[in-house]
Parts: sequence; C-alpha cells; structure tokens
Amino acid sequence: MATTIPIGPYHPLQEEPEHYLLTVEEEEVIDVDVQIGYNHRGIEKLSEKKTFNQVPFLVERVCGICSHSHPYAYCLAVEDCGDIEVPERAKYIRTLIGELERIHSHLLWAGLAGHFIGYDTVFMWAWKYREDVLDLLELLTGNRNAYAMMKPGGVQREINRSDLEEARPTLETLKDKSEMLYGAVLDDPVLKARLEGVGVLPKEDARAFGALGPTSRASGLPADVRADFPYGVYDRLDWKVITREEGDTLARVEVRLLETLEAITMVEQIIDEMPDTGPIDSEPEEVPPGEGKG
Amino acid sequence: MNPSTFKEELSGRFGWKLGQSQESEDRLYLNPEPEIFEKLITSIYEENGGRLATISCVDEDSQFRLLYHFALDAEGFMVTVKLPVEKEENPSVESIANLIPGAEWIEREIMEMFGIDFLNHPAKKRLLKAEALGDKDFPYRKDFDVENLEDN
Repeated sequence: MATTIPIGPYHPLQEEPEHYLLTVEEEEVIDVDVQIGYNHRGIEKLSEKKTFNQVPFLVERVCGICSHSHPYAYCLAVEDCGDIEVPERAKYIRTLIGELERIHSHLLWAGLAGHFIGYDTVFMWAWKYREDVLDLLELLTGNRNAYAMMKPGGVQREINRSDLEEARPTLETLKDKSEMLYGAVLDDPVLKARLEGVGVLPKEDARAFGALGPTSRASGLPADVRADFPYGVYDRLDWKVITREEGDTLARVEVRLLETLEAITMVEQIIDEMPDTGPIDSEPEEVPPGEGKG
Repeated sequence: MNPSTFKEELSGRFGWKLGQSQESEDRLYLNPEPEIFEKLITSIYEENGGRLATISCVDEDSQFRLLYHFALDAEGFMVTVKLPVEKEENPSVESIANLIPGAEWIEREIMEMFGIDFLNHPAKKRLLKAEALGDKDFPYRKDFDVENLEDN
C-alpha cells in the first residue's frame, strides 16, 4: 500500500525551503511532487535594471556556496555577446578559483550524502578537509565564500605568486586526505549497502531529463562542459572526464570524489603555469544588445 | 561535424522550410517555418543526439521569442531553434515536454513568468512563482512593474 510523506517546506535536512510530497511503497519512493518556489527572488528581472558590470554581484548570490560558477557563466555569456577578449592571466585565475570551488562543493556534497544516510563520520571527515579549501580561498581571494572575483573582461583582483606558493602544502595534504576518503568510502560495507543500487538514474533518463555535471557522468553520459565547450584554460590542462556506468548513488559519490582529485591536480598545474605578470582585465566599456552563451 | 555541415544535413532533410540561419564557430541559429518546428526538434533530439540545454524566452515588445537551445556535446557546438510567439490575449505554443521530459519544468517556468500557454503540457502546475502573485501577473514580461508591487 502506498503512503504519502510530506517533507518541508522547512526541514532540518534541507538547506533551503522546499516541499516534497513523497509517495512511498514500503522502502521505495515511487513518486514525488516538488515545490521549489519559496526562495525565488527574480534575479533575471532585477538584472534587467542593472548595467552589465553590476550584474555579477547579483548573480554571485544565486547560490550561497557556489559564488564563482554563476557569475562565471554570466561573464562568459556577456563576453561571447560582445566579442570581448579576456587576458591570459585572468583566464588562469578564473579557472583556479573555479576548480577550488569544485573541490569544496564536492566535499560538501559527499559530507551531506554521508550525513543523510546517518553516517556522520563521512560528514565530519569531508567537512574537516573542506575547511582547508575555504581557508585557501580566503588566502587567494580574501573571502571564504562570495569571492567576488569575476567581472566581464577579466577578474577583479590579482593573485600573488607568494600566495600561490603558500597554497601548495595544503593541496598536498588535501590530495592525501581525499585519496584516503575515496578508499574508505569504497571499502565500507555499510556505505555500500546504503548507496549501491539506490536511486538509479539510467542513461536514457539522464539524457531525456537533461541531467548535467557529475549526475549525468555517473549515469554513463560523458558530457562535461569543460571538455566539450572549453573555456578558461581547461584545454591546456592535463585532466580527464570521470564517468561511471552504474547511475546509482554510489556512482555519484565516486564521480565526485575522483573529480576532487582531478581538481587538485588541475589547481597544481595552474600554479605551475600561471604567468606572474600581465593584465587581468580588458576593461570593456560597452556591450551591444544580443545573445551569448556561458 | 561543425555548424555549417550540420546545417547542410538539416537542409537535406527539410529544404527551404528550414528558414534563415546564422552560424558561428560554435553556434547555429535556425528560424524554421512553424509547420516543421516539431519535426525539426525531434530530428535534432533523436537523430543527432542533441541535449536540450534549456529554453529561453525573450519579450521583444511586439512578440515573444522562444529559443530552444540544443547542445551537441560530442561535436562541441550548440543549435538554437527560434520560435516567435504572437502577443495576443492568451499566447500559446505546442509543448515539447511529451517528446523531451526535461522540457517540462522549463515550460512551466515560462508559463508562469511570461504567460505563454504550452498546449498539451503534461502537468500545468505552479513551479516557482510566489503565491502573492496572481495567475494573471507575469513578472518577466517587460510591462510588469516591480516598483508598484504591493507588499502582502
């Protein structure tokens, strides 16, 4: 017999107000009705009344923990629309912050995944190492969150060579700890029992519903915007797209943990290769009306 | 494959009805005749493996324009199919959510923000719009004035 379980709009497990009406048959969720509008702020509408270089400050606040990816997409769209060149050094800085953000975001996700299934050791570990990444971001940008680095045409601030070198030991530690976490998660029979074969998203469904990022890659779709539509300096770095065929929650955890390791090596390559001098901003003054992708 | 060879492939399938197109290194824009719109979308999605990235809607004052963005990830370019929607009392177009389920939420958002009805949509329910706004308030239309909103 089916039972309905309402979760939300306010619930301790959720970061934001959302409402889920689950229909379950014993342990299996067979349907869900979702309401996600509680926090809709109409950022698109607000942006209409701002100039092109004011909008990044607004877009940065689309998400509280990913304050680089949204303004990055916005700036790429504006630059595409206005044919604006971005200086080399700015491309390196953008990619560097983007990958550091990926590390902290993936660790946050892995920690929460552990927390949700009642395995708080994973939560404590992942979030402990995430702290080091946030400290790195503070060292490099001045802020643990809301880095405010992006602007159309370049970046807002320099990153000094001495700060970059200071980041190296932390990255070494992070690499060790992430490898340890990956091994521990795969090795753990309790985690396996809770994650393997759960929440399977088959490849065809992933494509039909337009899944993206680690979710699509864990369902066997190799789509990765960094490889398919390269921006920043991704086409110059040595890295690989991580995919898994299983499409279950375990595969999604694996993809994220392996991507964390890839991101750490990317950050190290950027520190090696980034030029120490040169402009960081092409200072565009006007953008024509039009359309662009980011 | 690149945008111009892909356009030639589509021209072979649809002839002059493909309409005017613009292309760049990684984009292809199509303005098809409305009668082949659904066939064209099906063809890009099913035969060429296009991924529906999103649908955007623009209020151009005299009309609305829907832009269906398909990413051909393996080829590294995007195809955007444009569809004008006349501004009348109840503007409407045919839904594509029965063909591509991923379009369902995108169409719901456009429905409540721009007031464009998607005919034969499988689940016409409110997704994002605040409860304080009525069914006839369409906040993303250009003539919607944020300043005059009453607090309630």
